[in-house]
Amino acid sequence: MKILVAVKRVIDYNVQIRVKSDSTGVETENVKMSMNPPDENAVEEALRIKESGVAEEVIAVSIGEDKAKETIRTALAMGVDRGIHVKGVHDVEPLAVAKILQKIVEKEKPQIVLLGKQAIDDDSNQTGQMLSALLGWTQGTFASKIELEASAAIITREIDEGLEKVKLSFPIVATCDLRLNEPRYASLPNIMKAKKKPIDDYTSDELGIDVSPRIKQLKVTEPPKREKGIMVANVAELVHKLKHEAKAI
Amino acid sequence: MIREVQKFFGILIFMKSKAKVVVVGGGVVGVSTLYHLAKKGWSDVVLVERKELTSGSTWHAAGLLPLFNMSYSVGQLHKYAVDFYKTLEEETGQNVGFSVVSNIRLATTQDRMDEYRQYAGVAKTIGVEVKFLTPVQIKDIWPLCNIDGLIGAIQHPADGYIQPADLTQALAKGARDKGAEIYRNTNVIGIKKNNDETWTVETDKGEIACEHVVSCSGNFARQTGKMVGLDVPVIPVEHQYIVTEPHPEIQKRKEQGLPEMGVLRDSDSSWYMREEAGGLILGPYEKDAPACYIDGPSKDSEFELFQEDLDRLESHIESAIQRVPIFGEVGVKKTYNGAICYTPDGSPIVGPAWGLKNFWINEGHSFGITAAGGAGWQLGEWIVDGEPTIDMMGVDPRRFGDYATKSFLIKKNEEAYANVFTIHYPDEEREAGRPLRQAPCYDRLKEHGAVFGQKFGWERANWFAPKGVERIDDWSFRRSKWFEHVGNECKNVQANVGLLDMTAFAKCRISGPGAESFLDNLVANKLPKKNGRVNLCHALNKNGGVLSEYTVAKESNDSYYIVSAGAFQRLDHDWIKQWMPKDRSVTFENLTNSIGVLVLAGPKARDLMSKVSSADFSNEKFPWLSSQKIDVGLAPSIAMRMNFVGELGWEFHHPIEYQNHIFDTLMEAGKEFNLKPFGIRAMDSLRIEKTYKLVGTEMSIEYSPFESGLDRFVHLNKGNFIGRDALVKWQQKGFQNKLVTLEVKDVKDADALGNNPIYKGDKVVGRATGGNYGFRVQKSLAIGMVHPEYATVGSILSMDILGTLHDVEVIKASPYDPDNNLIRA
Amino acid sequence: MSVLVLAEHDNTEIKSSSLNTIGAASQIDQDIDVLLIGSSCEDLANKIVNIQNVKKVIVVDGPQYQNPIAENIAPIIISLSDNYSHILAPATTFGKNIMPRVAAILDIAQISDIIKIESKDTFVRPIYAGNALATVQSTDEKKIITVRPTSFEQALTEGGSGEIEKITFDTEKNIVEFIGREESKSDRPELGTARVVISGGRGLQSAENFSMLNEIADKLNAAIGASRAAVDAGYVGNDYQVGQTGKVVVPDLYIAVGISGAIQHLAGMKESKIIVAINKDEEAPIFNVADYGLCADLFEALPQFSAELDKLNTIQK
Repeated sequence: MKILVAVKRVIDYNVQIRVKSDSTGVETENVKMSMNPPDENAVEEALRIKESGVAEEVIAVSIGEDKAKETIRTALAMGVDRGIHVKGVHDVEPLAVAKILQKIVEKEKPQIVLLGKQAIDDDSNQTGQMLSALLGWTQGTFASKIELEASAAIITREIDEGLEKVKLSFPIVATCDLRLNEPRYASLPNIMKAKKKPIDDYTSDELGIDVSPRIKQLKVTEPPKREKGIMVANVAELVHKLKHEAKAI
Repeated sequence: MIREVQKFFGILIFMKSKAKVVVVGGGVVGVSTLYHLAKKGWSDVVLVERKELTSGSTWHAAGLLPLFNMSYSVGQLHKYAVDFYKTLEEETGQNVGFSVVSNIRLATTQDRMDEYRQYAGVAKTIGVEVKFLTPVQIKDIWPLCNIDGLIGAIQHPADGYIQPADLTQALAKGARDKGAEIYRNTNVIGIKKNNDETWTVETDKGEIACEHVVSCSGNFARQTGKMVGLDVPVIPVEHQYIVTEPHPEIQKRKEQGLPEMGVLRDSDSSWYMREEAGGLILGPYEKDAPACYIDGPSKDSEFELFQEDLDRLESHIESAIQRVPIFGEVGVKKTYNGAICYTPDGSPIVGPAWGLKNFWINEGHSFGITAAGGAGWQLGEWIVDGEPTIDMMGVDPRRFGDYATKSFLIKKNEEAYANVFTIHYPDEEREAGRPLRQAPCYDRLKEHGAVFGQKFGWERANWFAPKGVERIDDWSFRRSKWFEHVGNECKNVQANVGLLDMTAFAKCRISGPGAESFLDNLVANKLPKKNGRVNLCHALNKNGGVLSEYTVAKESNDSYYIVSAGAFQRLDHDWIKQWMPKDRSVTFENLTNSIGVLVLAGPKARDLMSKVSSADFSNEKFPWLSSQKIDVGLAPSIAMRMNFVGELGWEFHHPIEYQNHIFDTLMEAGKEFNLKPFGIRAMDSLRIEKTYKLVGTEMSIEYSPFESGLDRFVHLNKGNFIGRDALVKWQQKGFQNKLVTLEVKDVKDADALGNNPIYKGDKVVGRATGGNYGFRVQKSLAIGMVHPEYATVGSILSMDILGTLHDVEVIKASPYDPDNNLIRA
Repeated sequence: MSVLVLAEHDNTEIKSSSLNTIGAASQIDQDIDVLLIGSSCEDLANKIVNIQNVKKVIVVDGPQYQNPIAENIAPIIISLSDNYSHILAPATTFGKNIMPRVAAILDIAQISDIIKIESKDTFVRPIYAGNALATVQSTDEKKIITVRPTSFEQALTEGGSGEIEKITFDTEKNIVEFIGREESKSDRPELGTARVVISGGRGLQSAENFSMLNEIADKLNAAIGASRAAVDAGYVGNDYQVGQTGKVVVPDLYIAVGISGAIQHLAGMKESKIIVAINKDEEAPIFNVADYGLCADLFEALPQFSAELDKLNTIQK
């Protein structure tokens, strides 16, 4: 059984992002990038499934410019067997990503596709669901636990009300939540060895997918700033101010 | 709710509009500076930080506290810090997270061990404890270290690592407790010099008028300098360190109550490693780390890290895994890639800015966590008391000149980074950015086999490789391949005549109706009385220590020509300009770039000169320490009868465009006298034989001129001069040092280099300031400073050279031609 | 133009997030169709027709729709999509799970989690955990949108007079089996809609200590929330989590106790009207967004807070 994991290169979650002064977007030049954190959970889960003997191969795929290879390398360093890089496309929308992944799935024929539940840059939370629909597969979104049976997966999902358990027949798409697992850290020898693992290159043209955007980004702005607050000296003052100044209690 | 206020435990602070000092920059260096100013009693001091404290480079520093530093001054700054940080918790109630786990530096080659032995001498003289370890002892302390290939190590028991942010917050608390104020999220947008020589610091929250400004802005050093027209020689370089997840072996040690293993430095593989939260940190200093923030960080930058590049660390990672196998077994939690400030030589710049009154610089810190303590301390003294107490030459901002352009800095600072762990040979010369400043005769010297080095950007011939010998240097702590050739240069100067290019000398003319009284106040010696006479003069600092040495030649009643060492051009000229009266009665003219200097020295010098010049070089007409306008070949030149090598000789100070003509004329005519060029290394050997002193070694602000044997050049009764009163007080208190010349016995392959500790029995009674083999007297010599009671001629002491103790005998100064018959011939 | 809103409900009551979504839909069109897919939900349908601006409630009723399964629901929406220019759902886990399937099959680029409607094709949505706002324009003919409930007024539950249309739909093979659900039951106001929220972070140090918040929550009639750190540490369940990957809340009063204020948490609460922070680290980033900050040990401050509230006698409902 093969597992395909989709990984995305995003601005590192620790970085304070800056909106460009011309409102055309967020500053990404010279900014530290890393693998989207929920994608790390997806990679980790894929590796655990392989280590349990259920799958023989894990493939990581990323879609983006040249530097997306760094993200694939991170996955390879964690233990993924090989990578696929769909090159040359920049800022692709989830729908186009799903279509590209559909083509990759048709080539590679995995039984399980894992993705992070949302990318921390555009926060769309769509790609996994779209891919599943295009493939006509089942989906287990916001997964905080994945248990595999012979021909089905039992997914525990994190929903607003609490937890929900569903049983999905293979093949499945699952999107991973941060609580799914603790992603492993790659050791240095594995990081160095990852450079030798194969990465296949494709372009969206080769795959026959039109990635032109459907959504026009008109502008990107900063959210309104809050007024600066004050420090209070003690609880009594806090309660007093909440009652009489803010009238919040 | 809608007020722009600073928060501090619920107490509101409004920014002052006036203060005695404004410190720009809230990293560990700025906060330490603020703290030390406040500690010296100046509570009306403020610090302005554009974002949050530590948000530049301090926050991502690995926190190591290396005591190790080959420099006498930097070593003292580091020592102060390590001692001082230990006291901060008690003083401020804030834990600084100082793990005193010791620091071990490994050695795999003999040269590296030599470096450590040389360093051990420096350590002894400044009171830093260092132990030598055998490989077995290394294994005891660091069981997880693979000792294959190691021949030894040195250990600093007293150092370790600290938490940079906690340290800074503790210093901030200490500063605030003493009345200082810190304004965060306040951007300095300009610094204006007021007419009364005070400053106004302009921020986005208002202006602060002040007497002193201290620039501690880290990665923004050049931007801050630009605000006052300074070209600050600092550009940061990227540095990475890798943090791993915990390893069971290290966790086991902790459970067993075993001590943390200490900071490990594999110097020959250029990396450091220490324990961190049950795992390890590896920090390599690789080649090819790029300079960063070349035009400063962006205006929004804070807590910024760069994209990591483990590929360029690959060889260091492999070496680390080899040396500490468990390092390869654990996962990488995080790689930090952040900016560290650098200067062309890797030491920070701490001291006054040139050309600006009361503008101070505390920048370019590559070991900022360690250096912050000492730099803040000395800068505090410099600002409050007027002078530092330790010799700060090694970190003075004026040790670089105009040649340190932005493009130069990129190359040189990247090189300084890559060389953090290379062996710092006493004779090392680094390649980047060279050749840059060249005297006209550069190519000619090259043809003669010159092997060049650099000083203050100038190419200078260190020695000459004769025909058949490769023009390649050979660095060592011991006598090496060039020893023989330098010896031959010296012997030729002694027997015949030699030619030395000293164009790099700093030169200026002081003129005007006020020139004489100005200079008289500047130096401790009397000025030459007659036109054409030359005196050796010294400028003292306000505490009476020796700051500069000048050759002063009187041209006329209102014009003096002044020469000093090339390395100190910016320092010496800045000092002069600082003290010049503002009423235009004194004019300063820099002549460094328009006058070349060639030195002719040796018994045949007079014969040679009579062939190329129409002037009269007889002793009656051209006595020692006089200067005249002459011709050399067809070229005009000033000839000054003096030299630094103790032979019959002249210095030719000529308009620079004539240099090659003069050079060719001399070399051609000199053929019959066996004229050969000689280099700086020969000069150093020759001068040691004459007990001639250099600023920075035999002379410094830590020594009064009397201690340095400059009695003849100090006239306390001539009237007032800078430092006179302090010197008189010092004299009354009593001097602790006396300069001695030493003959070193039983030297096989290593002469004293300087900083060697001198012992009487077990007691350290002094240190060597310099040393060399004297080819003319055929003895290994050293010059040093010892406690006066050991300075009697004939005393037998002992001195450590690279771990071996040698008997040394105090001999009379100037062992070669002690009566100076040759120079006055 | 015509607008369809997918209703989120529990077969008995419509969830308030759907009321916000209908409120949002009203900015696009005053006539709104609501799609109700559930089991034994006729009574509910009758309530929905009364909601302001609702023109029609399309009901698909069947036991297989007892629990919302995306693979079953999406085809229904797709079958109706021809009639609509805009299809909306709340950006809750319900809506987020289902709508992208619809969008993919219809080949439409969905726009998620909008906070403002500028026109029929232009919307504002948060990106980078709300640290930036993107104004985007859809060039698709049809728009598929999920709506951040807290950014829109709820439609009134009276004043509407819609009609009900029942339709049947054959689900394909059941490839998904619903096994069960664990919901936290509470008498407190729901976290997503509460007027007052008191949240705890890792500073509380244990699940037991977390219950220190109960007393104050009682007195203020507040919902209880948590930072990711507290959830990961096991002090409370994930449904308490406020943040970029948890719930987004906009109460009138948000009290953060022992929460440092990492970007990911702020993403979930920084639009709160009044923010109070209690933390013993004066450098904690939460103080940068707090209207009132108290640098104190929460183990002392919380009991004091409770006592002060008693003094005020402000038990409000």
